[in-house]
Amino acid sequence: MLSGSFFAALLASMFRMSTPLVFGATGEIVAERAGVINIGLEGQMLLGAFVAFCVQFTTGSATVGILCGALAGAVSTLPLTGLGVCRRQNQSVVGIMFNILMVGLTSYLYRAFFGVALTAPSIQTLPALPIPLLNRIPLLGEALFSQNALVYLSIFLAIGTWFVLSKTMLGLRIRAVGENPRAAQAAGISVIRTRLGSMCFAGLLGGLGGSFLTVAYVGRFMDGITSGRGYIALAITILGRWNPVVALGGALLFGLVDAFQLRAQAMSVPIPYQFFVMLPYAVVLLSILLMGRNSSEPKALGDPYEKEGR
Amino acid sequence: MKKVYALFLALTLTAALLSGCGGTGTTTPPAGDSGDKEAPEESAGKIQNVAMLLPGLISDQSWNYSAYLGLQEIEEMGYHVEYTESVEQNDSETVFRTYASGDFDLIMGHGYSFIDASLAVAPAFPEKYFYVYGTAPTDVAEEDLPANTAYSYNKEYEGAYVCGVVAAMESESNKIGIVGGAPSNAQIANYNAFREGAQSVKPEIDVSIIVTGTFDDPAKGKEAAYSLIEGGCDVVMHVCDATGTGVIDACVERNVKVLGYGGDQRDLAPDQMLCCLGVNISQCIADQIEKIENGTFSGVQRDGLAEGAIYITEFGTACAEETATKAQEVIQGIVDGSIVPTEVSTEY
Repeated sequence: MLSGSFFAALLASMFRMSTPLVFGATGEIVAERAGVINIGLEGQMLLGAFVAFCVQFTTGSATVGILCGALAGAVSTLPLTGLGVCRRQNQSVVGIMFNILMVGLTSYLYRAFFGVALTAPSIQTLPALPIPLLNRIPLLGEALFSQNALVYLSIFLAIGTWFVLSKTMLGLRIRAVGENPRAAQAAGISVIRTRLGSMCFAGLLGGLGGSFLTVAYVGRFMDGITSGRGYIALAITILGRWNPVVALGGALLFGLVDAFQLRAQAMSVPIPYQFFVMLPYAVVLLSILLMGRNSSEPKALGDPYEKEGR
Repeated sequence: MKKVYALFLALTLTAALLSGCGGTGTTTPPAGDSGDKEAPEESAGKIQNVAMLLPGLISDQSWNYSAYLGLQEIEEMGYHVEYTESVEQNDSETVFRTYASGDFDLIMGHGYSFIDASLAVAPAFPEKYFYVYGTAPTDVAEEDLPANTAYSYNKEYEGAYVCGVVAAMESESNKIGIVGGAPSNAQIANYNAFREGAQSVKPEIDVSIIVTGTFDDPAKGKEAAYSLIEGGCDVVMHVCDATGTGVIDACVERNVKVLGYGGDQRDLAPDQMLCCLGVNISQCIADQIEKIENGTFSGVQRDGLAEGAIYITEFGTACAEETATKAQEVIQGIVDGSIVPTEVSTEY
């Protein structure tokens, strides 16, 4: 039972299930490093999922669909940044409001366009894009190098974002704004503009994560299809200590445990199902506890920034 | 200026809150006096306005959708119907009360999550009728139920038994699986009957059960189905509404035979669907309305295949003749009482 093919399938499942979380956490890290809490990630994912589905359904092109989904996510952060940063409202409240709005908006628009029918519209999901040579590696080859383009993109973006944040001038600016916005402003960095850009990036990636769900994974849109994945990405941001590569590991851990619990249930292990369903969340919580929520948190996270203040 | 703006905003929000009547889904607000009331032919009837609470969305292509179809049929009979979707368990009391204090005579909850609310609200509105479809109250004896409540705890498991028979006969690897949403009494009874039906045909068959914990996540359903298929199952059944759509999609992708739930889902998997376990909601509602008119409304009703409340859809192209014939025999056996599937609703 626990053969090589079982592990290969398990790992493949892990990558599939963690991709939206990787996108979400990577984007969220950039926003939070700049000092903005983007609770609206779940809403951006849902919007991205909806827009990507509709656009692909109408145009027939997955690429255009994914691009539109990502753009929709990015654009939707503008009012959030306006309220949360420029108007200095409570960022968490603004984010939660946005999530509720997105649930209603996407459900309403979906029903307006497609109506209610027993056979819901579906699209062809993104085909697998095996990487030649690499996909011959035993175990990992099947698991990772035979996935679709968005899975590769998510990992690439996670590593790329880590590089930009820690090794480039742009990354330094973003981090400065999140640690000490007053000093950053004095050094000539526009806090508002940096935060706007970071939020847009978070929304872009959130939209990508959502697009993955409809375009590459399920092939349909259903109300609330994101099922809380945006919130899990928020937890993974903390688990990852605001480091995109560590967060990538955290997302994969969650995906691994979630994939495992389904297979364990299928193996008729005599443990109540509630334990299995709870397992991924418990593992993440435990990891946060063990790894410690240390001083990696951006010091100015969530603080309203007053330009003319003292 | 700011005060005027704040006041305007507060009024708008209050209006939005009231019109939402507690539901989080798209709703048609319960109108106290709707001008487009269609009077039924028997205008002397006690029931004119019917309301329904749904735990999910009518677009789930399964449980809630069948309720929606049932409501439409009732509407065609001349009643005025309204419904609220995605009613969370802790909002259900509020929504029941809102409908009951409005012009609605029969208020229905479609699902086990509405039982507690019905028991709490019914005594306050003795002239209204409350009907919950799904399961029966467990901690209240039937005689003690409020006189204006009725419950349908239909024997879905009879249908699940037949599906188990079908799945076992169609399986070549002798491994089959079933994906569920949450272990309510009715659901657990389904899992056990599915297994029992399968074992009645092939005693050595291996039946896996996955409970996803959600009725609304097709991505989870897809992964659950992948887990079963990768574990060797070549026939998979779902009993989990929207999550089940993911199960069906996964089976289509991997070309695995599948059984559906909630209604006729053959269009979702034309080449893989064997048959579906259907629930005849409109018949149940019509029955209850008739009972109200006759004055025999109340108590717990347990209908099954025999009464037509539960049914098996037509067999799909993937299903062998032999299987279909055997299944028909089993259905007949259950209807005439010669086959009695065991009802185990506490553990699986």
